[in-house]
Amino acid sequence: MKTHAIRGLLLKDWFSVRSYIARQLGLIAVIYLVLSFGLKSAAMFTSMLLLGGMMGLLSLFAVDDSCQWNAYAGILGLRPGQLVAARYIAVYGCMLLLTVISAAASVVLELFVFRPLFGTADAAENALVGIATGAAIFLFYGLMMALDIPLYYKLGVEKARIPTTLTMVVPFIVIVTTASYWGPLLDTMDLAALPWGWIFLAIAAAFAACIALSAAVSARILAKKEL
Amino acid sequence: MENAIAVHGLTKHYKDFSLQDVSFTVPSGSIVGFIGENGAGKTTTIKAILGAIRADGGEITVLGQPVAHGCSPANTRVGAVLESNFFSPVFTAREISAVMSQLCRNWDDTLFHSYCSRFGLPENKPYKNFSKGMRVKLTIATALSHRPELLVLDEATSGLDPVVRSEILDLFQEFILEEEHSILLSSHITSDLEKVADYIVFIHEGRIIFQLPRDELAERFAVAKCAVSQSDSLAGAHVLGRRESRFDVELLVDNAPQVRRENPGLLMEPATIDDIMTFYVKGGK
Repeated sequence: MKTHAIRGLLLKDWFSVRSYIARQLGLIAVIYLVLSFGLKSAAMFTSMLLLGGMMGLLSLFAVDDSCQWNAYAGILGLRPGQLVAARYIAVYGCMLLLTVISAAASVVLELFVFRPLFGTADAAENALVGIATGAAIFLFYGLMMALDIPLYYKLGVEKARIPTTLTMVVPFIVIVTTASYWGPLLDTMDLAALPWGWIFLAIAAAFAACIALSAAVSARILAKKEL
Repeated sequence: MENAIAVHGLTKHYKDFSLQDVSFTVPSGSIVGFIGENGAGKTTTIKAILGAIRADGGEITVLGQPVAHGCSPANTRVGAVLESNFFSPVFTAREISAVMSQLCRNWDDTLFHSYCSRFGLPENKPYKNFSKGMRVKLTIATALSHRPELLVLDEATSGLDPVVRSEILDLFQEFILEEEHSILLSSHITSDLEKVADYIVFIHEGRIIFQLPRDELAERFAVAKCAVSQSDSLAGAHVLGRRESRFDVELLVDNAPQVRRENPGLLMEPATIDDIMTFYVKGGK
């Protein structure tokens, strides 16, 4: 019988965290949906849904560590490259799915709930802002995970806690402290004249390259690691 | 194939512990009991056999194929039961089967269900709700359901009650009935090994002390009891360890027939595996 290692590993990940993610997302959805009605804006709801789901993905690493899964997978004859490939597909696939869901939620809430209910004039613009926010979170969190996943493989979830926190905190501090410099710079630029097609393409290519590099480093770490 | 496992000159150094020149075999078609005190090196040796750690020296072959860290081609033919359960406790038996059927070429779903049914394991209940005995049975059922030729078990029966242990030992004996099937079984429960093992390998402080057929162990090893004054002058005794009390001394010898012959009337009892381990570890010559 032929094996389907990646499919099996994705199924394993799904069974491992589905109830946890469902509970976490359910709770976030209820809290922020209520809040979004109060604020008459879907921005908070969609952003938190995305962030909550992405944070839930971290538990995949914690579960594997506590069950010594990688050691067992090696005993079953699975290669480190297969384990890493499946994990990156799971993490980035889920992030992409959550981004799409949050974008759809943004459109539905703004255009089909808040506009008829509250008569929001700029509902279409709000929906677009929601989609853009989701994409920005996906990009930021995706890059952060590209740094963090190799650390999880190298140190384990517990020991990686401090360095992975820094990968989130340091860029945040950099952005906040330098906002006064690049904010005015953006004001002087004719944003509409920029070649957005090329910019999006360059960002997508750089993003994909970061993920590919991160996966290669993770596979190398796992192959060397004694389990 | 003569040996299911052959370990030759295995060394592995850690900061505070080393495996030193570990050599032993698991002959095909046999059950080998792997004994030693906590920290003696059993788990490290087993991890090296399974390719989970990188050996510093020596050679290991499993089912005729060389083992290297992270690359053990024979592993698809090996069933392993270690101390961890490997799957998240939220998994049900049915979900484990669904995943394993994708990962293992030889996975036999029907066989897995038959083990679950035989062991009374509910297939739709997360195994976090199982008793310790049920969890071990589930792990063993999982290891057996990809039809391995070799089972490697590290403390699989520890912490289980005698009834469950007996069930599991029966299963091992069924497994071994099939030609060329072999088992390496590390355990602290030496009475289990006395029941099922064909050979005993004893490791102490990272070195192999002996590998002997169980029957030979029973013939050769004995505990002689005598007065302290008599203990130093026992004719022909090859003493491996001694344990003194206020009134007498117990001596572990590994040439019992000769000692019996040369010291008629000396009180001697067959040594259990526990006796042998205790005398070696604590008994100071």
